[in-house]
Amino acid sequence: MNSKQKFLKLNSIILAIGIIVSLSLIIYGGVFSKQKIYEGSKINQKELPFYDWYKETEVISATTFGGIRRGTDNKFFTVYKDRLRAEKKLWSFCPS
Amino acid sequence: MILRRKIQVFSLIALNSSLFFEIKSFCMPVLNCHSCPIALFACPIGVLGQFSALHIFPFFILGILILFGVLLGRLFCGWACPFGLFQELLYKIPSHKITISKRFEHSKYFILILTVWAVPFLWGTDSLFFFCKICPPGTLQSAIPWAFIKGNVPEVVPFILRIMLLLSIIGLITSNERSFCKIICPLGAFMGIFNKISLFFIKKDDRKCNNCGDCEKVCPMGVTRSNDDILEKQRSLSCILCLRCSETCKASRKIGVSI
Repeated sequence: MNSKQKFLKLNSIILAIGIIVSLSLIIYGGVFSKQKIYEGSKINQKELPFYDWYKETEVISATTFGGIRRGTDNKFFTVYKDRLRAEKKLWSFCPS
Repeated sequence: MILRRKIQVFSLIALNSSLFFEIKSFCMPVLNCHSCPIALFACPIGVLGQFSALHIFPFFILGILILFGVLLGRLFCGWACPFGLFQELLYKIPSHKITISKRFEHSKYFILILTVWAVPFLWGTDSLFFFCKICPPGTLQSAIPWAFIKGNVPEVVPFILRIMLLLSIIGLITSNERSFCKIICPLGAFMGIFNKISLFFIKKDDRKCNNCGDCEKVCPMGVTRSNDDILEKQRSLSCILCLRCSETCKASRKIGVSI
């Protein structure tokens, strides 16, 4: 087995490991993990307007802020957004 | 080239088509601001930064990025990133062109570690969206559109600073092709790591190469040829698989994509 074949074989193994690791991370993070994005902060995640909708996924951070960014005529939404801003938990530069 | 441009335009439209619904629980490996009024997906860099700030390991997003990385490398940078398309179009503007030293290409790793991980991690929730505050695609896709939509800006001075930074980057991009990808993009830095093992990569047939150097001249990322026969060394961290080298190669396309 020459060096090129050895490299290809090693590369295939690393590639397979990469795929397995990434799928494991996706499954653990997206399906099994009960970890919620706001556990590390003082924000009460259950107050989040779209909590029920997004609670199954870890990316609640972006989705939630996306939701807040989008804004609706939901009064709770606006009040919550303003409170986050007041508490400096929502990025003040963000044009939302 | 025409096919790639078509795909880039399609991607631009597809990634910004959330007029009726959005899929912000998922990220694509491109720099497309999730605060854009019509963005379909969340931005991986924004999400990673926020997870760092909240001291939570980003299992899901990291899994998605690694999966795309090991399968496709930086293919999305060359074929799907809207800001990549923006850069390529800007570079067509006639202006004084400059070259950027390869030494500066390492700066994107520094930016990735500092702005996406270290600062948010150390400053916690006070630094949510730290990179987003200075992100040029974010300014272009989110800050400016929202300023127009709402008719005002939340804070004037930071907004002006963002615009000035964006204009500086535009100036740089106009004079050096894809310079944002080369020296700044933290997502490109992260995805580039997987170029070494990804399923898709550019392969050069050294036996048939006549060393004309045409492939180097057209490469938007400034990748240089490797005369080394070792495959590992042929895989550049910067390659975005745009295939311009393959199209230019006179030795009957002795460069191509391999699996």
